[in-house]
Amino acid sequence: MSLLEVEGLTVTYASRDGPIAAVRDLDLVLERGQTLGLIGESGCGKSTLGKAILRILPEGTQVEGFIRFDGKNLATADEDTLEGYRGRNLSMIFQDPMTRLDPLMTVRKHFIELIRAHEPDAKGAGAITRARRALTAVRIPPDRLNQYPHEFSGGMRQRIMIALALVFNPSLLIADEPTTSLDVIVEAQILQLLNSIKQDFDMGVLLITHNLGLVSEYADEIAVMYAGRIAERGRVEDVFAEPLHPYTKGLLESVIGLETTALKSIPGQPPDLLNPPSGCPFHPRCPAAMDVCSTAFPPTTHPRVGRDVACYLYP
Amino acid sequence: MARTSGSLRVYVLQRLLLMVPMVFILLTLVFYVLRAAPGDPVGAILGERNIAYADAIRRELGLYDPLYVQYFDYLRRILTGNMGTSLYTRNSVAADVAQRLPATLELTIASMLVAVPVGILLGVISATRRDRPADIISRLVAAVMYNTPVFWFALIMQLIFSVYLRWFEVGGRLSARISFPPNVTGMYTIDSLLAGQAYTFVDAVRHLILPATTLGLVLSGFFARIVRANMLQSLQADYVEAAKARGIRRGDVFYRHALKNAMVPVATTMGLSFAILFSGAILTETVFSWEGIGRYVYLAIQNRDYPALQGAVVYYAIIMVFISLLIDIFNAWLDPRIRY
Amino acid sequence: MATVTVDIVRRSMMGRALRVFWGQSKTVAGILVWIGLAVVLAFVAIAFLAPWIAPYDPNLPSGPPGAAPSAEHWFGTNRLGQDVLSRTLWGARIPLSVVALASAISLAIGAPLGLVSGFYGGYLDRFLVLVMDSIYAFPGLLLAIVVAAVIGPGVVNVSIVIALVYVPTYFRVIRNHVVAVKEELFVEASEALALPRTTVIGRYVLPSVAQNIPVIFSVSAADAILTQAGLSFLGLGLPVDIPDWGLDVSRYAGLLQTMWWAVFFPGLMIIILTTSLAFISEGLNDILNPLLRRKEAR
Repeated sequence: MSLLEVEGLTVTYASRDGPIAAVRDLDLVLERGQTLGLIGESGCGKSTLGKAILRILPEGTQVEGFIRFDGKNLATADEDTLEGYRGRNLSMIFQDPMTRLDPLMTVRKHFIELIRAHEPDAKGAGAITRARRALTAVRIPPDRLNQYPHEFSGGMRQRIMIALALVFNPSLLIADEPTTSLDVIVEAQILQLLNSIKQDFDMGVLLITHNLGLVSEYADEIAVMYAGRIAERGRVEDVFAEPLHPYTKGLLESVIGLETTALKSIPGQPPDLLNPPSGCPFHPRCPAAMDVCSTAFPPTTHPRVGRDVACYLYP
Repeated sequence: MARTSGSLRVYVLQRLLLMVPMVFILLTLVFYVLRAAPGDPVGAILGERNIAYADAIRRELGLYDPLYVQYFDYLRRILTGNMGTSLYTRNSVAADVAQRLPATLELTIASMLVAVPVGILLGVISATRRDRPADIISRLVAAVMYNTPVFWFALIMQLIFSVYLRWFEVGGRLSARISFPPNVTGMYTIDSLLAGQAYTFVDAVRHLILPATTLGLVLSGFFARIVRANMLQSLQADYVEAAKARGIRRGDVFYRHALKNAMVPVATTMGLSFAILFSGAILTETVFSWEGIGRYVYLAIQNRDYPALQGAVVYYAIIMVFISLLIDIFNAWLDPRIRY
Repeated sequence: MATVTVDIVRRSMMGRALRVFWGQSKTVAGILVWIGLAVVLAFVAIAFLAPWIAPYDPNLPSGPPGAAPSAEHWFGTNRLGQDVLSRTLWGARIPLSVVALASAISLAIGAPLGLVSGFYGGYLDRFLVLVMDSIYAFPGLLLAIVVAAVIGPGVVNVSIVIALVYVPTYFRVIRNHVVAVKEELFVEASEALALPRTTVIGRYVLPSVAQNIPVIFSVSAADAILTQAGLSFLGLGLPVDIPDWGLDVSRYAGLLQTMWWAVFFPGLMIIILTTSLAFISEGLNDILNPLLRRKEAR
């Protein structure tokens, strides 16, 4: 059985101007110990997907479909059950480490709070030992436990977040753009750290990012997301060698390399999710668009082994 | 508590040093307003009555001396604690103020005890049920309470609870037939409690409830607004979302993260609330015949007691700076980021 | 050419602000503002039209003293037989004129000082902030009492007194906003174009800062009315017998039991007026703040 099975997931926000479907009828599977890179432009719904899996979306947001984790459907689970899962069996780290820790609490208090939330009878001394061990694993001097978040740099705060996320050895880690706001050197450090940790713990990782370079380095498989749906999925080497979906092709072509002489971009704008285009959401910008593309969303097919594509070019 | 972060001690020291220029400025302002401003303060207060008497007062107050002499004299006298003699009570103003200060403190603290919980309650209701009927109603209630004239509200409260319902006393701090508790703090409620005098305590409380509730409810409207605004912000905070993602129970997330962080700016406004409280105290003490500094100020106005008025204002300025210092220290203790 | 670009940025932000404001008429915040505005304007109208709409002369006895509210005297009469309704209607004049005049003075002094202080910074700024904060932290009523006791009674004098209390409010908000706006890109851009500082202030900083003024005004006006009423209640600031809400409350405080209506209605008017001003300020705040925050998100 897969670690995570998402089926027909639709997430609708209630906004001032009307309902916005950030994720539409999405299917996704993640195996144990596998790292899946989820790629997409800003606003394509990838953060929403991450938060939807953990069910931490704002009140009033509708979640429909199935989110099977370890046999349990998280989409319909009650809040108490979910609280038990979060931070213990599946964890999430976020994009902006600067504001993700409570400024009034020391690092030590963060750990104790976390440990007591899941193990109410945990002894203080034991909790502190675990905290120190977690900090050491992310290469932060454990003696800094008693310091406040504002005394750490951005990169260090992110490492603290990772330490907190891993205290209970979760089987799934959702990393939502974990290094976007950090500089390249720190970024490399963090991702190497994540790499070694996931191997030690046989942890599945959903790496949400817009950075193709990261995905190529650290992910096993890549899923491309557009306007709330998965456009393409496959092993990283396969997709990079032979991108099938026109959107993926456009993305890869726009990456700047040493031989780039002219900038290439995908024409047009990301779709307005209040009034999404009919049929395939990419068709207004697609160089290979056909008449059928505007009728209905293309079914997902498998034109090659281990590849998923949702495009009428591959019926 | 061992802290490796910015030293609280250093911060306190810095604030103490900053206090000196602040007090200085306030005293100078008071001086300027009362002495150098256009118009003859003594004449305005005593009227055309007795020219020789007015003259003698002016001489005694040093009003014929050049301004800078008056200024230094004024500062010197403040440093020695001599603020002159009240024209009305014939006591030294310093003694008058010292005698009445505990009463005002008692009223102020009791009012805070009402204002803070009510304000937090209203603010939290508003923030957690945003734009729903509960929010609108509590915002309306808070707005009306804050915008009610204290003196009018005090009178109405007095009418309803003391006159019609007879639940509480009309005024004063203690019933006439009851003797004062042994003086420890000057606050009858605390003193009687310390001395174990149950009957006195109950009587003191019965006198305190109405003025404290009046003032407290008006102030709570002010707090409610701030709590609401801050809660709305902190509920959206990134660290709140991150805490939820770690599986922290929603109740704990609410109180430990959202509410606590929202309270920090509230503590900052405590200084402002003391100012509001004191203004309100002048009016409340007058209506309820509560013998505190507020009523002293009122009587000073009525009796044209110029030295008393000046003395009360100067003492108030100094007390106020102390309180704002205490609040700043409290804030720095609450929020470790401030110490830098 | 470059100036045009900067102008477009500035104008579009203002334009957007105005358009959003009109569009907000249907939201909770928008409704609050409209209701508040309507009531305040109604009070202004009452104050102006008092001589015509008041049923009786407020200073002449027009009925039996101490009469309860009835058909002839909707709000009853007071001890001198004066009609309370008429006194209440006429009583709007003093608070409104005092507050209007005082706000104008506070704005005229506080805003330019805040602008200059925030923009130029340095020792001047630090000094002004210290002074203004000291005054701001001082209880408004006490400050008003002290100054009023010295300069004596009169409508203009009271206005000056009240203006003094609120100068720091105008100063702080404007100054803090200027300091924030200084960091904005379009100000940097215009400085890079070497525009003279006064132009930068006048054309770019001022419009952005000016949107604060209605909010400051409605907040401090509400407070000013309460302060003025408090002054009148304590017997300061007005020659006797001009109808005024605070004054009326104080005169009949002792007779509360027998003539509650003489005290109740003037106070009620104060509450309605100040709460309406509060509606305006809260509504405006709700509308303008998200605008400011949305700007940062970009």
